[in-house]
Amino acid sequence: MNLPAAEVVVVGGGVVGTSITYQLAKRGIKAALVERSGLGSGTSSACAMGVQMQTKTPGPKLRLAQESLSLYRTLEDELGRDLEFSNDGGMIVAETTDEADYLKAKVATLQAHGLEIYYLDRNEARATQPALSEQIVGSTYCPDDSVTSPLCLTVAFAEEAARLGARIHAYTPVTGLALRNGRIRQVHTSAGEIETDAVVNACGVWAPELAQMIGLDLPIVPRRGQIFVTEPAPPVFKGMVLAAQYLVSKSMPSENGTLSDSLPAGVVSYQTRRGNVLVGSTREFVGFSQHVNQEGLRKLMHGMVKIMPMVRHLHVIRTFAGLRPAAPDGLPILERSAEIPNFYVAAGHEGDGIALSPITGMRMAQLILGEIEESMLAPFSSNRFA
Amino acid sequence: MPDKIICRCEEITEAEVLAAIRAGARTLNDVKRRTRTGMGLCQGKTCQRLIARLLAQALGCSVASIAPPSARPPTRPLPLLAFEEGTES
Repeated sequence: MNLPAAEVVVVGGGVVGTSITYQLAKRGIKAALVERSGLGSGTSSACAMGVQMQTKTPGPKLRLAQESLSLYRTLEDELGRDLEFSNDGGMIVAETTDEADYLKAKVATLQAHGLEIYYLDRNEARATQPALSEQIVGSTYCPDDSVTSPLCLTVAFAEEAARLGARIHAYTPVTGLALRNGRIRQVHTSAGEIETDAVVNACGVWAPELAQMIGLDLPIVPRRGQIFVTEPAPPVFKGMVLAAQYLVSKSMPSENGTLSDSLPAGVVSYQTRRGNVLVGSTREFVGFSQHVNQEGLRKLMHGMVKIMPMVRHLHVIRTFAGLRPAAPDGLPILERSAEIPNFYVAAGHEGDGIALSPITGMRMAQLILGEIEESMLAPFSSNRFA
Repeated sequence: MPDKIICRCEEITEAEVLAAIRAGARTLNDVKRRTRTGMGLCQGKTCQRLIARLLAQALGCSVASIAPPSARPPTRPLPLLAFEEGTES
């Protein structure tokens, strides 16, 4: 039993895998996408929707995000679909003077790296975002921060890839990878074998499982993010609003050691065009559990109400948790395997998968086709962990 | 009447659900991700069974064999205020 041969098999039908498949198909490559469940059924449908610039570490990741944003600006036209992309800017809100100092320093650093970003005092921040609490001290404002719908994006990439000739095999788990002379020659799936010249591991949090099939280790672990969504409401706020609390707590030791590190959480919120307010996320290492809990949700709700009090009157209609693929240093792994030369990895984006998916697709396709030098992706090679 | 509303919260029509199934949706979660059925105020309590029936018809299986969508609490909309009890201040 065989499936049609493919020049490249992409494993993983999330936002990263579908983006790579689309970019390959666009270049005339015979690509196949293999996904063990439904398209976008994993992390890509259990995440927030941020395409944020100011949260990215200055350096290679920020540059990658900026390149991705420039692709986003024309992506709806390119794919011929509504991706609910919206460039409304983003704010990180300080509730204490310590946080304000931290944000001012952050703004200066990001400006030095060429990002357009400002620090606003309380009055300026509340003039920009009237729903913010009177208690806040100030906020950042980054005009480039944007959002998109990960659900629309994943389907759009997959359908456009299919239209361009890629084969999409959903509900088709990979059962093995057959090597010959140190290269992968066949992908074994529940629906048959696919002869191929190259394989891309875009399995996100499940990427180590695929790598293990050929004895390779990938340092990616699941990091749970709990999220809640409210009923649709009239417009309360515009763009993304984050609380500085978590960013600060990560970089400053807590004075009394009471910071509950057991359940780190930072408010990231957005009101969708339908009016639903989406608030994430906890950042917990709890294995593959996708449960929500009261402690995590309360923390998010409490944090949200503190910076935007009127939200407390809304009703919560849905809560969920997604697993972010976390690499040790928070950067994705984008590379050609050093051990198996026709095995590629594009995984470990943690909370940046939506923001980085367009550029990840493009760079991986370029890497596979030799359109770019491997050194261009050197900061994202797993040999950084060696 | 192909444009009858199946999910009234998100105003999704039968035609849109059928198009999602034709495009490859095989489960309630697939239909949900493609069309937003069940993502509104009632969280699918009304439309879920209608969509399960459409899926079963299209896939030629029984309604009982259509897996329920992922559970995403709360069962009924809860005011944020209700969660505030017991939080730190």
